[in-house]
Amino acid sequence: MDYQISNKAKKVTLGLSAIGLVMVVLGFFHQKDYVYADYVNEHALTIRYNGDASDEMQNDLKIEMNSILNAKGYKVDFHDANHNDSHNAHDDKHLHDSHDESHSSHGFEWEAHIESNHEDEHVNHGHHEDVSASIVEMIDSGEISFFDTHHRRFWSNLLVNGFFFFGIALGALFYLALHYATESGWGVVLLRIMEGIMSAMPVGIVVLLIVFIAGSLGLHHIYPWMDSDVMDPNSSHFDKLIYGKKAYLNQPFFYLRVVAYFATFFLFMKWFKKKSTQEDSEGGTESHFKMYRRGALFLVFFAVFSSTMAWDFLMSIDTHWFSTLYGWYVFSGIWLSGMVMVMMITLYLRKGGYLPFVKESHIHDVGKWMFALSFLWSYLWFSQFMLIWYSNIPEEVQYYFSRINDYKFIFFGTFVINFVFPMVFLMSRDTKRSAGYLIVIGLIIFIGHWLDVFNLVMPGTLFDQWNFGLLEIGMFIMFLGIFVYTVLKALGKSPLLQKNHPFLEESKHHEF
Amino acid sequence: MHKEADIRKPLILGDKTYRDITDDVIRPIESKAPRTWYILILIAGVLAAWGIGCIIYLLGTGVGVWGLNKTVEWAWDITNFVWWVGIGHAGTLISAVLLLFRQKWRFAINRAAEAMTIFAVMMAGLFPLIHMGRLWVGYWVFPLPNQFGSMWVNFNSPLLWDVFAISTYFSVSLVFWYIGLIPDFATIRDRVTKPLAKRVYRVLSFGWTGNAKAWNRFELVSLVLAGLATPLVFSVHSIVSFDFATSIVPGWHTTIFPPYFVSGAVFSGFAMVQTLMLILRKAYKLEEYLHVKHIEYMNIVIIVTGSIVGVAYITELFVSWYSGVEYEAYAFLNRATGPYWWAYASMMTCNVISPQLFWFKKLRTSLMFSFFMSIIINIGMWFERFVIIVTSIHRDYVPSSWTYFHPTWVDIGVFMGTIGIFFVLYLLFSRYFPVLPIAELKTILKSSGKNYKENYGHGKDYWDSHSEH
Repeated sequence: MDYQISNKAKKVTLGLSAIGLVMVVLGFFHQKDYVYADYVNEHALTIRYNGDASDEMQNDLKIEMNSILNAKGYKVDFHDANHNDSHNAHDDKHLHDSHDESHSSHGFEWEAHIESNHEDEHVNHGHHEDVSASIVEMIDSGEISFFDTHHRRFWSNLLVNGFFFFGIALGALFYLALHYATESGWGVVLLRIMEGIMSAMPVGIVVLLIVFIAGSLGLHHIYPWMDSDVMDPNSSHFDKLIYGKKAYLNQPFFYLRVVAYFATFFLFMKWFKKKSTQEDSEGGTESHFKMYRRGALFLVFFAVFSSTMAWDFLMSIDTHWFSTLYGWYVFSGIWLSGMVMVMMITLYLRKGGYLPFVKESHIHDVGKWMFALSFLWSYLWFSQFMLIWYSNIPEEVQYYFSRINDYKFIFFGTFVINFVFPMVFLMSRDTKRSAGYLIVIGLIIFIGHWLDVFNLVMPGTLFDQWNFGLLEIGMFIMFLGIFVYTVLKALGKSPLLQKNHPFLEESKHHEF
Repeated sequence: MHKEADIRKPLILGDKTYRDITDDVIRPIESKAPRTWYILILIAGVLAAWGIGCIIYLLGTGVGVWGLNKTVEWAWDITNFVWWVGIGHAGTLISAVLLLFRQKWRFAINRAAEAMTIFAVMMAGLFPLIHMGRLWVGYWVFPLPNQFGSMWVNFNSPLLWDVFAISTYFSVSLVFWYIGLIPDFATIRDRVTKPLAKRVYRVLSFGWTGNAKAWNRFELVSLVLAGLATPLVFSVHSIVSFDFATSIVPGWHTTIFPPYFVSGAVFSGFAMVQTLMLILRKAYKLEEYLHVKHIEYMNIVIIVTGSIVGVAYITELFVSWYSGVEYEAYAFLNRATGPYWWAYASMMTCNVISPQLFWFKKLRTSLMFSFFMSIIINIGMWFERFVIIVTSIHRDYVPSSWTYFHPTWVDIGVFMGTIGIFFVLYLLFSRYFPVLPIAELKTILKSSGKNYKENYGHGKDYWDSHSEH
């Protein structure tokens, strides 16, 4: 049966992205660049900033604080603290703090003294509020902060979503290749859906390319090794460790790899689609065996690229850190997100009556994959975490320090969502055959794996200055809308059932 | 019955009936053992006796009779342990994971592979026990409440996790294997005429009646055990890898170890299955049940797991440089170019390079070559463990204590002895147990038997003319 994206689906998906876009635009102007405050006493605090703020910005911040305090009946004086002492205090914390550019103007450290406007209030000393503490709190929460001129949240989110949705398309392509290479029979009726999902690969590719090129142009500092200062032995920002990785982490080689990944994956994707429609018209088994062989070849490329890609795109954010398991861990997330998307699109189309040949047994099997891959992901998550936690080697464990200190709920939350949830709810046979359950559980672990990617990126780009708001949610639903729209559009291009796959009958009669 | 595509090659060749399957599998049990069986078990028995002698000598004298020294305090003992545990992975993988994946070709190898698994795990368990030196208090590895004072196991130690992982794995594998054997024992019970044999098989078959309810429960239990065994396949070797990876020894501590050890275990396990089955099919004339297609499938598993292991080797090597940690980098440089370069080179050649030859259809469908390769891989995987263990510790942080490990005759004797014991057990198994699952083979005869396939669909030899890959 031929499928065309319905008007309603078009409206929903594009509407979703439009709403997302509005949220992104609103969120864009609320990106904060935090200053840090230390409470001294009721009348004094120190305010620090390591980045690069012009006099005008500094004045604006002073005025802002003054007006807040004025409203409460206080006034404040700012004095520059000894600059040299303070500057390095927090440098260690942010090993590759993106603010630290080689500009002449650095951050600042102020000592702020708060005094009451009304002399007589001094009498009621016991009752007045601790304004110093409340200012510290406002600074900590980001209520008092600079606007982030580097748009770090925006770029980081772009990377998170670009990678996540690229991963879904890649996961579908991987599964399709695996299906051919292993001569599987049961899933033939789902192959067109996988073809549809992998067709949306360009969405992720374009976004990732934008992020990389912006990084090269210096628009953001997600990848510290792209910074020429870090690699320059004469610069004050020289980083010996990162410099040691130069043979691998340098821009020409990086782009060579990026092109190799994207070109390989994209060409394989196109080729599989072409061959499968060709098989529809020509019949015979020749195309099938070509795809069998090409599927195996894809897996060879994928075996290498999936790891190196994860190192390049994500692990190199935390440039000092390394983990041999990283590539496989990221891969398991990609694969699972792909399977969840296969499940969702299948259930959606099946509900519309477009997939009369997809039986409960097929749904059940995809459900099993979701279940099994959740275990695989959890196994790799645990292996990496436990081994690093147990050994407690400083250069490795710092990666988890930042995640546990600043991202506690997201870090452990993803593990609960992505492990406990599917384990409990997908264990039974009945839930794997019930569309309602699958949609709810599927959506939850889908978001769980988005959060996983969030967790891979943010602690290395925003450190403790992260936020979760309009920008994050908006960007996610914007991409979700565009992605699903692209997939549904692509699904309309060819019939939803392959015609001449040699294992088609096996799949049609798949029942257990 | 499931529909099977015409281009799939038949799994049971020849013109077989249900009766033929029973006859073919039980024939070796019913007939007299050939002279070669006696010769083989004699050789294996001598080897086993020698090994047991070495163990007794070891226990009487002390672990000092091994070649261990103060720098290399772990060598062949743990190498052999990991090697045997690894081999013990294939059986459960074949019967559990391949069951979940509905791979029908597993029926040609699952019974024998599971037996191999059980014997291999037994051999593996022997090493930590004798390493502790006092075999008679081996039960101290379990957290048993006692009045010996402060004696209590250390739950922080991965070695203790190993005790749990391996004993669980062993019990589940044993139950799984035995459950599968019950209907087949019943078949033998109903056929044998000698009173003693009848008696024994009656006991072994647990009074199996073969009614519908029994079969129903049989299938249910198999599925549940498969579900339980699958995570165990992963957990056992992951925990074995924790023995090394939780440490801070460069070359041991690396996060990729758990999945990479699992893959390596499956790799070595399949190689051992290949070695044993290629002999078994010939000796017991089971060529029609276990033919080139099965061998090819196994070789594909070998190439996949071998390549995963290869990717892991390269990843480790790369990250040791990428990390910027000089000790880490040195551990790997020393591994590849230091005094043990020959072990590293053997490992790389046997495990990574040579399995790639299986990309050629001609080679992976050649029985002789498969047999040869299976031996190569068995050797290579032994070297892998040796390389990981010994080369990482023989040069520690103090150059004055750098040493080289020399195995003594006891090291060699114990290892050879376990091979002997293993083969004695395996030969006994193949003599008195059905080496193929009779009941399960019958379930695929009508969908994957050559004679049945010929009579349906596109007819005779369609699969040959349409599968030129």
